Amino acid sequence: MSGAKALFATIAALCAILPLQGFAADVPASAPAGQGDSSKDKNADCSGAYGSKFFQLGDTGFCGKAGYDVMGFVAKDFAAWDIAMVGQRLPSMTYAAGVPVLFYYNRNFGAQTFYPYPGVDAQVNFMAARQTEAGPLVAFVNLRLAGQFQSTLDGGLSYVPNNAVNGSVLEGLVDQAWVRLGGLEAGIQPSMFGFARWGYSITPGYSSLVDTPAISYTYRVDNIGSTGNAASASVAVEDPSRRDMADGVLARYAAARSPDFVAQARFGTPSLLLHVGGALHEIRDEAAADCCSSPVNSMWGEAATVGGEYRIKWSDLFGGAAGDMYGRLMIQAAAARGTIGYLGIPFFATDYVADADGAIHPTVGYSGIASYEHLWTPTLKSTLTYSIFDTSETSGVEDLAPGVPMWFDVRVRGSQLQAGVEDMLQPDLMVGAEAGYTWTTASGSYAGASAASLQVGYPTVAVYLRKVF
Amino acid sequence: MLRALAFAWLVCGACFAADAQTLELRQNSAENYALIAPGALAPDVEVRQIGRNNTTVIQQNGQSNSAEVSQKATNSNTSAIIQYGSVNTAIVTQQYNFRNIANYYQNSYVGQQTNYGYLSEFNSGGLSILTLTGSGNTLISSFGRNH
Repeated sequence: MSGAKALFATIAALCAILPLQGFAADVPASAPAGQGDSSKDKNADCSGAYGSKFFQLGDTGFCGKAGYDVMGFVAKDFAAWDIAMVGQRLPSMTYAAGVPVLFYYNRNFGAQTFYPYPGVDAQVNFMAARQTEAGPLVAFVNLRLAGQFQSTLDGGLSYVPNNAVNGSVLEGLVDQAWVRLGGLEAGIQPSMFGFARWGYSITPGYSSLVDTPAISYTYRVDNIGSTGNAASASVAVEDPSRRDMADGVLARYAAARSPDFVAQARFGTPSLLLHVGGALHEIRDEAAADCCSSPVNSMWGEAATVGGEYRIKWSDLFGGAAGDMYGRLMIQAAAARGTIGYLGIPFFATDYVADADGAIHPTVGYSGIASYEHLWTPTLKSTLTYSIFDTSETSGVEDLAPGVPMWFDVRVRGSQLQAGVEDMLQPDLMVGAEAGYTWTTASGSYAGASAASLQVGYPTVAVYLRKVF
Repeated sequence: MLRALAFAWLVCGACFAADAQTLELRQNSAENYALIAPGALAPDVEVRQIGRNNTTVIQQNGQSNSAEVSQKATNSNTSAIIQYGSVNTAIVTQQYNFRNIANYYQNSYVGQQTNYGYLSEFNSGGLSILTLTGSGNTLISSFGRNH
């Protein structure tokens, strides 16, 4: 982690801790959550104020809730082959830094995917809350371990984390740790860019949902027009490193000078949630400057998203014939230029390409997702999710030798269909199965000459058992 | 038709063959690029290209350097050679209007460390890009979807 990024993470972490220590002593003991004479009464107060699982935390005036969500799964990935990318700097007589080029090819993953693999996604969390004169004071910590045991190329078995941060499993363990006072929130928290979810399926669709060190402020207005309607506007400064998509050759970030600036606006009714978001992400590249005295160029990457979720009780449309069936549908789209990490897609493109002379070419792309969840009975539901992405990565025209130009234009696009069913065996215990199919196509041209396009597709299946509290 | 040294830079201290290992590289796609810059480890290099457009760029930094390029194209041949040693040899043979059907390939990339440096070849459709780079100028990354 660079110095600026480390400083930013430290400030965010301190902000997550300090308000809890500072405000807890200042709040009067007569705060609503702490009223009552016996501990039983106090617990009842907490349940009434925040929810049935909240209990009194001693004489602190805080109400607390602990929870966990553990999912074990066995999955099979049928991808014997998949598209892989190679970034390379071609030797040039003209530029010491080398001329960037991006290759794509069909890579054999058979050794890793031959056997079904077990995995786990385990989370434990704790929330504490109380009322203050400045508004609700809430602290939340969620620890998460997510990964799978998978075959390696040499026939061994290794643990592959799904939530490592910058390659660190330990850093990824702290999924969320934030403190909120009124509308101000600091710490590791869900990014203000992402929508509520990445589809209703267990396997994530192509949508960005990232927890990141951040400081955010939300202004919320309730009961707009009628009871239950609300609108909010949020701004945040977020850790820029969590979304970097750089390979170190075509794109190599210099130390960050600025956080990501993210904004969000939402409008909700009891059945509808609309979301728009935007982000600015600074690019400072040193891929060419590091070796060859090219200037450290910078520019701003940008991303935007729009999404909506609609919940429906089918009997409202079809009467009693629909029984107790409910459904909900979400649609989201995102577009990015120079900051592909905001699309929530596989690593098929870097955020940008740095030419040998230091010039930056931002990669452009989009992603989209549509997901529907149908509740057949109070315990049985099914999901269907379809998501797509498209990226276009290019370089500038540079000479390999005088009069011998080279440049590239590579496009990768893909889609994914997932269908699942889940049954609640008993309260808080679910069993489910999911199947999906993934399509990906890569095409490109080099110095104006078209290369062959490459298509791959493969199915996946998974069964899981999930227990929540 | 033969046309020698159509597009070549020669830094030639003394032009005679050096005693070294020879690396022979062949390409027969429609568009061929051979980019050779092995650094201080400078094997003798022979590049043979047959295609529609052939391009060879060679940089040799050894004490004694030898490069031989043979290009046969239906359209154009380009060679650029720069040698920094004290004993250098460069021979370029170019033939155009060469009647040959270029090969078209499935998409593939092969990269491997050799005694001469990192050797990679990308073949895709009618395109072939071949590189040989030494330890000081090998800049390669690999990325993609996790499995």
